Amino acid sequence: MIDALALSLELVTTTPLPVIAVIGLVWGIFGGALPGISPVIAMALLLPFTYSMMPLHGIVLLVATYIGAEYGGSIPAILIRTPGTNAAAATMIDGYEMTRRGKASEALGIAMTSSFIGALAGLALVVLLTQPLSQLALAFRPTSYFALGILGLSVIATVSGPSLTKGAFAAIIGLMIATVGSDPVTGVGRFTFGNADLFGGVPLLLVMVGLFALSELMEQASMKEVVRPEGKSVRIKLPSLAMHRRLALPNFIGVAIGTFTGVMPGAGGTVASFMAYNEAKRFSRHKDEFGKGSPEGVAAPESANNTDASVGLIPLLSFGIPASNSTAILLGGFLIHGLQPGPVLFSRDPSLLYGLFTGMLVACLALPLVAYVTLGLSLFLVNRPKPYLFAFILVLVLSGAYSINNSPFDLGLLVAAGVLGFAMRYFRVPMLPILLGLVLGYMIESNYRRSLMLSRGDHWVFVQDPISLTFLALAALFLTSALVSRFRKSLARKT
Amino acid sequence: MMDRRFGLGLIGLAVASAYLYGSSFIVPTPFGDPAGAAGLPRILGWLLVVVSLLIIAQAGFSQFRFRRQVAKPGADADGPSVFDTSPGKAWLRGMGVVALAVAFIVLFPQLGYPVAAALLILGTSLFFGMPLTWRVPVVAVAGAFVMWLTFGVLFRVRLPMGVLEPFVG
Repeated sequence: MIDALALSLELVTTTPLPVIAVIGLVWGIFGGALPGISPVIAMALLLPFTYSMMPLHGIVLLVATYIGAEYGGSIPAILIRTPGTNAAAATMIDGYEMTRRGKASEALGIAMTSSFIGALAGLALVVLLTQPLSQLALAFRPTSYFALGILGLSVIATVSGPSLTKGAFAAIIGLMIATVGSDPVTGVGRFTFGNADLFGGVPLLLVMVGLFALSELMEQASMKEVVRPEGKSVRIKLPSLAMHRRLALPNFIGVAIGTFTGVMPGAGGTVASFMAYNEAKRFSRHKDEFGKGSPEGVAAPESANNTDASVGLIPLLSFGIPASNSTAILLGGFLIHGLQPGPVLFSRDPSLLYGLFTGMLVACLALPLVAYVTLGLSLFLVNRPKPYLFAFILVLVLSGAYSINNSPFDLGLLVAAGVLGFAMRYFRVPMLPILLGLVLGYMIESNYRRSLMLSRGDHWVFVQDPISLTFLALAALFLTSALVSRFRKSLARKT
Repeated sequence: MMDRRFGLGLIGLAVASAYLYGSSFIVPTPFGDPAGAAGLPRILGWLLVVVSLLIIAQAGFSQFRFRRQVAKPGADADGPSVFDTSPGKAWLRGMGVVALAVAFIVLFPQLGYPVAAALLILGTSLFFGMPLTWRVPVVAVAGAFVMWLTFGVLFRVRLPMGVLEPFVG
């Protein structure tokens, strides 16, 4: 513990980590504040930049962006009734009503304070739970890793939206893309068509940026331009002590619900925000104020979605399993540096874990100040014409992708991934399963085949390993409960 | 109008066929494991066939039910989206972004990064509905300069200068 604190202090005082955390936070706030730029896209746009950075710095940059974007989404939700992120939709209900009543500064102050509380509470949980959980995985064998990959894939049952078949379709496509390149066991080339650029596989980074950022631009091109009103000059006004007392319960509700949804794959910040809003209303002494500009209606969703964002890192850091699009991008940040989150990484290089926690703490602590300082610029950016915004994003995406290998071939792959993402949006195929397939494909295939080589082809080896058996049973349970739940819902719709 | 899932299922079948055909070219190695390098690809190919057929069957079932209930044609079970109003136009606009990106990829080795980036900003701004005033080219040139400073100078990415090569040495 003392070593960890000493290391954290050293990182803060002798490395550029705090500066990187603040840069990520600023980028995240701007990204979250700009409607159409979700936290995922803000993170995806940064991915190429992290490629040439030290692994810790790159990962802290992405995590700080994630934290900043969750708060940033509340700015346009409160001021112009346009949630910057999906999770900020619940904040908009009372936040915008407060703006209409001339209390925009108070609403922004409450959103910022509750985001700060949520992010800090989430970080505390991540610090407390990640390492003990990852220690469990030190006993893992190839069979366990294979089963863990299958458990990770079973997440598609809850993240596939209304259609499980489309989720399965996307996961298979992701697994197929993961098979391109040299075979993980024999080194034989697969689906490379003699192209040396494909021998190392399809770069995850390009697929992520194409799938999320480029396809978003393509979809935005299909929509009509929305003219935004000029934002009034506002400042952040911190809540008074009496207001803090009033907001204690909704903040607590938000943190509790955010913790629950954060570890549940597929639930996400939007569900957390609306659940927290409802529960805060249920337990409030001022129920009649909800929907008419209630400060509690702003606090509960903000603390919930920020807690959810931080707690969502636990399954990723402990087992290497992403439970949301944002954590999948973060996993990409690890993988492009050749790092696989999980127990082995943190037992080999604990400084990375402590460095990450330190970076997150710096980002959380800097949030109030950065939010205060950047509000004016956020408002300026929110009010810029969308065509300029999209033009700059397109140049940024293409330049970032080119900067990795100075390769026009990479740009071709990026565009192909963008078209794939656009087609998926058109056919309403969910995005997360394709990423799950892509990032878990290697883990599943290599460990499956290694297990079979060790057991001389005996498939019982997966049942004989208790960890593998537990994971496979959990995956089966997960899939079955999701199928039963879907079946019940469809029955309820019919009756 | 046909349910969109028919199209998805048919595309899935085409992709699965091409993938299975491609997997037949994977060279077997004598030191391989029981599953082999082609093991997973074959399983995935056939899984995609099954899932695609399932999607087509679901679409067929929905179409049959919609016909009986006289429901909204063309939409699938997931609710309305931006593509429902005019899907052809949406695809055309989406491909416009691809065309701009491809034009940049083709032009920037010849014209150089700064000029190609300025043209891309200009073209994209106009494509997204910005009226052509003196401001748009100014923003494009200034934006390209900032991008060149960021990538070329700050991150030291080797960017082709193209037609500007004689001026920057």
